[in-house]
Amino acid sequence: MDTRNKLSTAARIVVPQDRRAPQDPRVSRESAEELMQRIVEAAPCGMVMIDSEGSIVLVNRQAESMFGYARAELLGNSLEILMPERFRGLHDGHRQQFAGAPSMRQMGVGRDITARRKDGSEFPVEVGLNRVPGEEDGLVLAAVSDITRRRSMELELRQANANLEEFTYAASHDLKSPLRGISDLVEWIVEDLGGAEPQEVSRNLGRIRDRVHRLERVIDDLLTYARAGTAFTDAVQVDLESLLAGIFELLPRPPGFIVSLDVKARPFVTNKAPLESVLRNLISNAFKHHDLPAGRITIGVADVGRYCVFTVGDDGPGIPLASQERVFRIFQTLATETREHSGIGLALSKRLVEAHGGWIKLDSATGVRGTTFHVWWPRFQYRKPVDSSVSS
Amino acid sequence: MTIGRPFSILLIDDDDVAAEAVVRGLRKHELLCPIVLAEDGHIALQVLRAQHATRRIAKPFLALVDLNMPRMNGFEFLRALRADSALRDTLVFVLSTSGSDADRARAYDENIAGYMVKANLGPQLKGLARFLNDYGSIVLLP
Repeated sequence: MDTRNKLSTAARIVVPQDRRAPQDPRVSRESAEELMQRIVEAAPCGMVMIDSEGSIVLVNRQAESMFGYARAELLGNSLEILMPERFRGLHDGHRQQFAGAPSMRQMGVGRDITARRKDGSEFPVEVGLNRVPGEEDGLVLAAVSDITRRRSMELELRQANANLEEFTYAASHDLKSPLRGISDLVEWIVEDLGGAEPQEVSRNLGRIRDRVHRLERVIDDLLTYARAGTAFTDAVQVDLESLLAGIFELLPRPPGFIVSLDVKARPFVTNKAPLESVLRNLISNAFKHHDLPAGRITIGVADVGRYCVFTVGDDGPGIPLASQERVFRIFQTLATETREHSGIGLALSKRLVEAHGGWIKLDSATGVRGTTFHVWWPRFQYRKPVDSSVSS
Repeated sequence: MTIGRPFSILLIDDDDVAAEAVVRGLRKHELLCPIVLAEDGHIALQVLRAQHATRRIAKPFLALVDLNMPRMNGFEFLRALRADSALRDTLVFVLSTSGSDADRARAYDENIAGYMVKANLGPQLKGLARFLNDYGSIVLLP
């Protein structure tokens, strides 16, 4: 069977005999072949079809340019010329296995496969295989994608994650230990002086202590921030009324504050803990940063497309436009009393929201009272739970 | 109540302040047993094998080991210890600043008696002192 006949076989798959309307101008064998040709040529990936002997019977332009061969060099040749030498013997076994139990599948699942260009260079590929049913047995169609870009992004990501883990490990060991040492030394000095020290000395020792504690908290916060969104717990069905009720149980409403709830969203399956901590943070901020003894907090939940949108609004002092971007950065707080507010809450919330495929935004205007935070939280999971072994 | 024999402690920590904190904490809470210091795993092995110029330790004793140390860290020390037929029965508690799951699992893999995080040992190591006191009076050490 020559190449032309095989193309005809393939063409009949595209336009099966029984579905052709006789009056349709596309019915003739010739035009069905042309349609087939056009589809194969237009495919956004490299297409290679082989026969039962492993010989190439069809390629498209993408395959030509991907592998650096002209069509004539490929047709009739063994598929093996597109593989690195070291795979050539092995592949014959795989191919026969596939021919024995054909099903649509990805090639090389669980291992990296590479292809070989005419110039001998290799590149990572992803290959989808399917048997071509028809009169001739053993035709296999492969769709080949060059995944060099994706592979290199994966490597960069993996590197970045490794760096982050190294950083958190170093932060928890190499920064904390000497700090603990300093704190111990201050205690011993106080003990050894036994209250006989001049007032100035005792005041300065107190100031060292304060700063050590603050630094310890900064390190803990940094670690919390770095780890946020890396540990994914199992998703559970979340009922929004009871989620909010649970938050208010642990976050007492200050006297003088009125909270109004408007829950219009259906329950959905998600990672409850991070969502809860984001909402708790926004609500506690609304109380904490309010400048008056009485205030009103408005909480709304609604389904918007594939997101569950939470709004937390207050009638507090508002956030000036110039500061609005800054509040989401780590260790930024607009409160003047920095001892109480570490300034990690919003940065952490943003990170948690984004790690789950959502986003967070605030509405406030300079000179107008009130701030409203909006959180778009996906109603379905973007990422599956993974084991996280980030050190603490 | 049976009172165990008086025991010694081999304290392995490269940070002299951290080591002194342990000694001070135990002394303050009236644990007056002899404490022998080793600045890293290598020195600890010398002491245990009676190869050290000045420091010796006699049975019964238990070891408190920090994990992060230069030259020979806690894990390397534990591996060497378990590979030495004369020392493999040594009772070791890990005393670490790290609460990392990975560190903990790795340490228990070397058959340690317990993993303690320094931050959880109570004010001035009161918890550690009380624990070691009770442990030494109830448990018969090797």
